[in-house]
Amino acid sequence: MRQERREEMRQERREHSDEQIVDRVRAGETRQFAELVQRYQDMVFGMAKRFVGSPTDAEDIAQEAFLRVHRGLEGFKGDARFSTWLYRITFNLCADWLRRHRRPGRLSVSLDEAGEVEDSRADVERGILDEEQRRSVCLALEDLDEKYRSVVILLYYQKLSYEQIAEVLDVPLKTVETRLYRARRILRVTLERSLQGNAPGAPGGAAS
Amino acid sequence: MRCAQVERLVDVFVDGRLAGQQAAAIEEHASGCVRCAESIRLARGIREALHADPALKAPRGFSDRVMAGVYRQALQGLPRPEAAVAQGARGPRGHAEAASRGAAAKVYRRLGLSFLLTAGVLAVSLLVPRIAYPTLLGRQGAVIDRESRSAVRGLLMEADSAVRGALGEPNTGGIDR
Repeated sequence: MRQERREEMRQERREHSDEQIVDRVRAGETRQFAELVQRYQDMVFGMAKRFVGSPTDAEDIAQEAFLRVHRGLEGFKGDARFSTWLYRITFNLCADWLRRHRRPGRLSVSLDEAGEVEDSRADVERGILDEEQRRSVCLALEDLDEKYRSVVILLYYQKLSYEQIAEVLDVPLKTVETRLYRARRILRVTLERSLQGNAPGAPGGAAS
Repeated sequence: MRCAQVERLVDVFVDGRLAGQQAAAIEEHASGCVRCAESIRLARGIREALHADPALKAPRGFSDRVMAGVYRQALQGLPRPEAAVAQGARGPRGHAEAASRGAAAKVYRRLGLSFLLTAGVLAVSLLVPRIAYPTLLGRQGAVIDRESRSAVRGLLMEADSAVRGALGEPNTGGIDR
């Protein structure tokens, strides 16, 4: 019974748009902000975790992102979507953190190498990769230079559109497309190598 | 369509962002080109590998910790930017401690304020009449006092003579003070 009532209340709150809730918080209903936190906490925490790795640091960043958003509500004009604004603040905090903690430029494959896509005959079943191949892609992503890694994380993990990524990173759409193209080219080369390594007869591969 | 074009568009194609005509051209080319077909499969593999990663959830109690910080901000007004950065570095436990310290400080402030208010009311009610009344109303007060006394005496004398008249007694001027 209580569960049903709670569900009803949640449904009722869901009917309000982010912008309507923002207006109510600005009018003094601070507790309404909790609804925005609950709506976006997984996305914001997930984004921070993807960027910085450590869950503790990710939580600190996610908390600070919400606190900054709350402090900045008065200045929020509504010309951008609330979610995009929140992601931008989160991304900027992650970028600051990475500048302080991560060594720059960690490309495992150079862009020149990425240009030399070899003709691979490895038999990849359409849409099916094994665990090791998936892991090799994720590891390659970790090694990408920050500006390439950012666009890939926002596209694949955060499921943002190209246009939203451009807004979050505050760069032109064309830049997003170029970075995505280069990032994915590097990842493709890495995956191709992983597949070649596992191909029957390949040196060091899983030939039996 | 040429291989170089397919190579350039393959990820956008896999993302489903190409117009139908271009997408059809890529598919047609890939059906007769092993290398481009392989590129498309690799691009799909990348997409699959990254999409397969499970969505992350915020830790338990996260929203409560955020709201503790939000209420503290709302109570204390806007902190300076340096202070905000320091709070960010303090972490979740730091926020909770700061919030409880803020609540205690609020209680102390309220107690202090009530004490001051009580003392103020006492001072006003006890001291002000003693000092201010004679100073402000000294001469004027005496005039008001005399006038009101003679007015009351006049009323009483009128009432007395009316009663005596009604009873048929001579008006002897019973009230003469």
